[in-house]
Amino acid sequence: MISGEWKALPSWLSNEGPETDVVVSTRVRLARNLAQRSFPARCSSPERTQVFEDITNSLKSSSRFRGYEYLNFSSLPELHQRALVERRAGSAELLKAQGDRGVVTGDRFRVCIMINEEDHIRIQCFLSGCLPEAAWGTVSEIDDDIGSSLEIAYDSRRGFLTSCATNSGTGLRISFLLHLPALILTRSIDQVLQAVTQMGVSVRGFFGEHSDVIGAFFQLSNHAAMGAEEEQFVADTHGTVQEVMRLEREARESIVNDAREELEDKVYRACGALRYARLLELNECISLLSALRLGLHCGIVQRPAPGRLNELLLDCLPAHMQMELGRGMDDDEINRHRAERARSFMEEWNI
Amino acid sequence: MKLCDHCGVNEANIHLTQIVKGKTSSMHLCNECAGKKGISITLGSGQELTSVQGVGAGKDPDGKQGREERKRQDRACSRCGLLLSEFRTRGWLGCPGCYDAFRGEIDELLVRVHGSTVHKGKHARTQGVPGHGESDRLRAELEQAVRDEDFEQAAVIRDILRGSRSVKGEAR
Repeated sequence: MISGEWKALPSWLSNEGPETDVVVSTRVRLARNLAQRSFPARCSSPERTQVFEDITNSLKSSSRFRGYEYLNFSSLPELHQRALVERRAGSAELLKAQGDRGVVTGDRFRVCIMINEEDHIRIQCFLSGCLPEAAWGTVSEIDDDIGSSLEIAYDSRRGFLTSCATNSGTGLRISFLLHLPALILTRSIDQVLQAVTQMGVSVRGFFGEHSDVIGAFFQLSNHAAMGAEEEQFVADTHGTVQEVMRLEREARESIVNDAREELEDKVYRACGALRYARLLELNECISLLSALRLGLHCGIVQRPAPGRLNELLLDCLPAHMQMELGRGMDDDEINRHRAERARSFMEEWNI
Repeated sequence: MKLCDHCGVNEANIHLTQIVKGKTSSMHLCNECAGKKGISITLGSGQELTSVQGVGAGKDPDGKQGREERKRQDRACSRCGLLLSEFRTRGWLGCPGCYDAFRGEIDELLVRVHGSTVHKGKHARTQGVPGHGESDRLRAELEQAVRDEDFEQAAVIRDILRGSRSVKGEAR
């Protein structure tokens, strides 16, 4: 079972980091595998169990991971697994995988190490705002820690060997969760994202790989992971993200100056729907919260605190809603409870 | 949306033009049917066709002859047994040994995705000081890199052998 910590807002959603007006969070992950084992998809069930034990024992022997939670998905209720995926501690692939697999997490989900997902080890660090160097520093230290007690699959020419060859080399992915509503409103998003792609940065939706764009949230990450040092990939992707941030801020400024009435209309309509709707579907809810978030950062509304908005967004995700009520629900019931949750939030903040 | 010529159910996202005995024919397939017919696709962005295991071109690839020909052409990783055809169809590797077993195919993919086949980032801690076996392997790789005139890679391997290229985490 997940302990009490699961209810706390993940630190990367706290909105306490730098540049959170545009960058919600930064994530860095490293993919690693044990040298003497087959990759997870080709492991037998006993071998997967052995891998899980070897890795968790290695982590437990390090003081760095004292107080961390060791969550084996094979013994967690499905709802708990899905809630962890909604918090980005796990992934859709981890849900689908078989046997002993899971996540070791601590520090309010700042560090989440997935075991037996696509690779044996996925070291991840999530930070609020735009903090690429700090996130990279954390995963690199953890990588050194793990590498000192486990033999990692590595080849001097190809670097770290991974289940999917496209991740080999550094095994690094740095991604930024960005909120770009003004670029959408000014209809310049396609052009910006096209330019970003040409600069070697991949664009994904709100929930990561294969997901749709919802509420103007985009994930931008490095495409290549081989042929340069990790710091270079981090700096290059960061550079592109900084340029996108600048463009988004410019677009916000021009909307405030040239189309304030339309912006106010959009934000207050969102406030109205969040306060009075009786049924709220997930995508609609995220879009409304996105408009409210834009209103906050453009000075249209002064409440709530942005971190609390993130909290509401997390609470409105389906597994979280069901965890809160302690039971499974159908879509209609979820939509009804989501509207109730939004309504009480808006009343609490008197918006 | 064009449907798959083979199953007629899924969307065709692989468009193949074959030239057999001077005659051109087109085929539109979904991923699944393409896999069944032994047609390999690249694993990069998009679904670009690079090669056809086409020894059976013009014959029925699902027939006995086609299957046997594919089996003959297939290779397996000596460590985990993964077949090259499985790697091409599913896109994942079975074990670290697959990187040697399917070296050419993987290099082709890496160049397309990363624009490079040479790792320049941090080293595994356990590889910081190469052991005897590792040294021999590295020397062989160094010779190969020099033969290939890949001097950038040769310099990296030379440094590892000299021990001057330390593990980054230790240097900090």
